[in-house]
Amino acid sequence: MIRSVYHIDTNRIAEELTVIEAAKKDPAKFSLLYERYFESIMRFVRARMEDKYDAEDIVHQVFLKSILNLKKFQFQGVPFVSWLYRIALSEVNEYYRKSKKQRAVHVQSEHVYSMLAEIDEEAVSDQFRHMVKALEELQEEELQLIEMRFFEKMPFKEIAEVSDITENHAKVKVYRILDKMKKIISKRKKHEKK
Amino acid sequence: MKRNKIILDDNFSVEESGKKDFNRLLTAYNQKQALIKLTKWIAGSIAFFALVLLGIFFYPSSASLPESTKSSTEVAAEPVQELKALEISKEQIHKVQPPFQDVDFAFEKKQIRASRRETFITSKGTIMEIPAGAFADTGYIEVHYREFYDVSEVLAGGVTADYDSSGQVYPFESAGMIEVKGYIGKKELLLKKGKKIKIKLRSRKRSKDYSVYCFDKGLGKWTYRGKDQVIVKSIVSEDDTTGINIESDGKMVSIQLLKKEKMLQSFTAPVRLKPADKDAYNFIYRINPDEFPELYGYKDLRFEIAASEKDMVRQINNKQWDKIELHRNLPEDNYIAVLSNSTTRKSVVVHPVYTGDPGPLEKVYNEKMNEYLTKKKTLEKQIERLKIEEKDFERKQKKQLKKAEQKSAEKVLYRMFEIDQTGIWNISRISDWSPQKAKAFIGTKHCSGTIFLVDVEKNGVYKFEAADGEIMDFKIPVSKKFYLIHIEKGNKIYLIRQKEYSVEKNHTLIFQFFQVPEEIKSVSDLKRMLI
Repeated sequence: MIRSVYHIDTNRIAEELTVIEAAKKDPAKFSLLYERYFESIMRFVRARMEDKYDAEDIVHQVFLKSILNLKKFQFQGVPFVSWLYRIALSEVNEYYRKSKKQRAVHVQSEHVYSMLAEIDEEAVSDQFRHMVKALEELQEEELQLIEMRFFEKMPFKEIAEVSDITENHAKVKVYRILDKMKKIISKRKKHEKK
Repeated sequence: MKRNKIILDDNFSVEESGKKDFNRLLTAYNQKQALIKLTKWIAGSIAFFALVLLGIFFYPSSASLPESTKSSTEVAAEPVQELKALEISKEQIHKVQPPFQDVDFAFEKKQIRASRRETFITSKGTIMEIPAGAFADTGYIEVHYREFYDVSEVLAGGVTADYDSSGQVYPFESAGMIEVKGYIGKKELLLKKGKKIKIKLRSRKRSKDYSVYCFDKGLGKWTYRGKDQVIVKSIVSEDDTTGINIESDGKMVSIQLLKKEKMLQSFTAPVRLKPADKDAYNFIYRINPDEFPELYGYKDLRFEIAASEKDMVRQINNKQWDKIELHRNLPEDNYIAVLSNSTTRKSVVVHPVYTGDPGPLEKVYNEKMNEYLTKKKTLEKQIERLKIEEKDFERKQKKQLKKAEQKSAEKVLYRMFEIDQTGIWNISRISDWSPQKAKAFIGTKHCSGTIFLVDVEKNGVYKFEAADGEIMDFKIPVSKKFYLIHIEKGNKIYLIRQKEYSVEKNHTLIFQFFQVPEEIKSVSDLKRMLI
């Protein structure tokens, strides 16, 4: 699970800003941010990729883009790592668009069960199977929101920051996707009964 | 429509996915930056040539226009100010003469660009801020500087410190001195009029009754230049930011470790099902795979009431049950089924069994066992790594704590002032001395020449001239620790310590110098001698 950036205290954000300002002048100072967020970004990217080498390349691109554009980074109350996640998300999307590969998602059973609980479905093996199938049918943006909310346990505020939408909009979207999944599941169940 | 590929329960490892390589990132960054610069340069060149071509094309038509009708944006060129390196004539200088041969107190050097504002920290911790265009020349300027904090440095540098105010000479106590010079090649430069170098002198003296004095090379004496500002700061070096999150990161590792250890504890090996006993009672119960992974995946899984619980069968069969709960009974290696309805609740020991063909069952068991062993091994490895990380964090945290304790005690004092000319600047205050008559001897001979009074306690070095043993205007300090030093050619040192002088009846002080056997080859030698 990705550690939520909203658990970072204000002191740490302030300290991070000092590092960012130093890194704007001297790129070597970026190493601290790189060391700190490499694993989080790698986990974020790897969870969305099947090939670990592709994931490695994307993570490299994420940090390269962030260091090249660091001068444009302005603190607006959003922790630095959210900015990194946003770059990572756009890089992953770019990768799938260019390669035309099928989007891969790493899912843990526990995540599927937590989603089943969220839509008040029984946690039985049939439902589990239907839920996985429903995940397979989601569109790019829908899947991303589900990944962030249920697999990475991000708070809505953070999802909103990464997806560049409002917090309320993020909530509405996630619950609409869950409704959609519920419908897919019931449709599948009916189909199987026939 | 299948849009996404779902990879279920593949516990990928972040460590194996890719290793950190900041150097690779930095190299890529530098390459990109170089490419960006090159692109900009090419674009600039193209734009420039385009402008030149346009200029050539339009010039003949504009040149034929009368003066008054020429572009109103044309500005009369100002005469280019000729910047000459100002050399100081040697005749004007009252040179500071170091008393020792080849033991001069060396200057530190720093190359700066005249057109840029430069700030740097000296090896002794003083901060110097030089504004852009401070020196009367362009290009690269070499700034020479040296700082004097104790008497050995002052003596070696030959900077004596007494203050002449309206013909009255007063001794100085110094909180620190700095000498700053600018050079281009061998040419010494002056500061431009109106330009000031800001100096934060790292001092040990906190008192506010010190003032700023500048050594006037023309007059050969110190001149009062105002007051300085005392700043007290705690030192936090930039590198320290790396340690700030050790505690929180360490806690994260500990939490992860706890989670993984818990996971390992709840990790259950797959159960090999036994064939169902035809005579025993069994029932179907749909398990939660998350709760009973050791049983998940087996087709025809049933739960058989243990032989020891035979009596319960009738009781169970006779009633309608609303709910069945299953619990793992680890010590006994079996399971307990809890059956309940609105009025009754019964517990019975059960064993997982199968009915039907054992072939596929064995295959499932082997697969499950392999998966279990791999996952267990990975988890154990992760725990091992986290344990090492946790220890590492503890060690780092201790180190950081120690460092922080040291730092909290380490407060730095700066004396801040601005200089508007190169030369020696002194943060000093006037010492209170009483004048005395004095005579100096080396053996039976009169001592003639320069005698330095080195006041270790008050941090001052003063110069007196002795002719035929008579010292003119000698002033005895109230200090508790001072030396009188006479230096002859070849760094021969004659010395007399405090209280080693005698007083004649007419209150004349008699100094009987003795020769010091130590050889003085460096400032450190001098420092050792004067401790």
